[in-house]
Amino acid sequence: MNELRLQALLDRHGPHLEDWPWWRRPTARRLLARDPGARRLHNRALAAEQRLRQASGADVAEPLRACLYAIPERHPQADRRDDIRPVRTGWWAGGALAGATACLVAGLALGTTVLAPTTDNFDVAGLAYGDIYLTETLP
Amino acid sequence: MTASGDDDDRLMARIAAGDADAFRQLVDRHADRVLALARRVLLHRADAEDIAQEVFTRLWTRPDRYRRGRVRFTTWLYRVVVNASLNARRKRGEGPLPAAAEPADTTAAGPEDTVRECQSRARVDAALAELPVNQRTAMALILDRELSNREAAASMGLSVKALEALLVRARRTLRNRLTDLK
Repeated sequence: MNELRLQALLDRHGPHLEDWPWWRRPTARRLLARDPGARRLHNRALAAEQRLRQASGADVAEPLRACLYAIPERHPQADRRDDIRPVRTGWWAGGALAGATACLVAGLALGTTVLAPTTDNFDVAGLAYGDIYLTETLP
Repeated sequence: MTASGDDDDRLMARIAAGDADAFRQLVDRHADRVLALARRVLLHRADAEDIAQEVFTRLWTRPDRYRRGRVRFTTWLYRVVVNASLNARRKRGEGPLPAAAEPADTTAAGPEDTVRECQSRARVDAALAELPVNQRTAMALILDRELSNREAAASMGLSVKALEALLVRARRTLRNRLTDLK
């Protein structure tokens, strides 16, 4: 590992080595132990992250905390039940029903047209299935 | 699971049963982090406070949304904060956010410290404002070291690789912007 690689890993994992993947830590630690340039990079990353954390954070002030504490009073138990919307079944149940109906219709259509038993030379009358009535005069 | 994770799960179970005291304990445990995360994404304290109220209200009225055991509670909570913050930004309209300097803490040691803090915060906010919102969100999630990269990625709905790519770009930009910050 060199300084360039260290910087890339600092950018990816942050400056705290305990947050790094475990297999990268020993090499990084050896580099930091022997290379002052590497230590500068590491210290700079640590300082930058600390500045970011301190300057950008926020603590909850008392008025906000009081407001948060009051949420259960503003939304009592009875209202919570009403607020819980019922699972909407309308749209998908209707879709499922429509799909099932379509399948039934398609199945009936297939069964009576495409898959309907046809007559053949051995069953001229085509009456083998019992539900077909000969309506045409055979040649 | 860690002890704190168990505690959060137990508190959520009690909140689902309507226990207001459990809710207050959860507020005490997580409100600072929620506010900090929202503030880092939105760069505006008042908006962040609105988000905190929205998130905790949702937590109280819809505790069923948290499925115990699927993800750690903080991973789920921060995902709710991120989504609420990004929705708030979308409603306000896209575009760079003004890096409003937050008023410094008046209990600081002296006027020089107050000015320095104010300037530091303004510089940091300005640097964060330059980041695309997804890079800023990624940084906001990992800055306090509460989440691993994997958990932060889950909070954003990204792969770990995608999150780390955002972090690399964000850290490089911030390093260039903040090198001379004392």
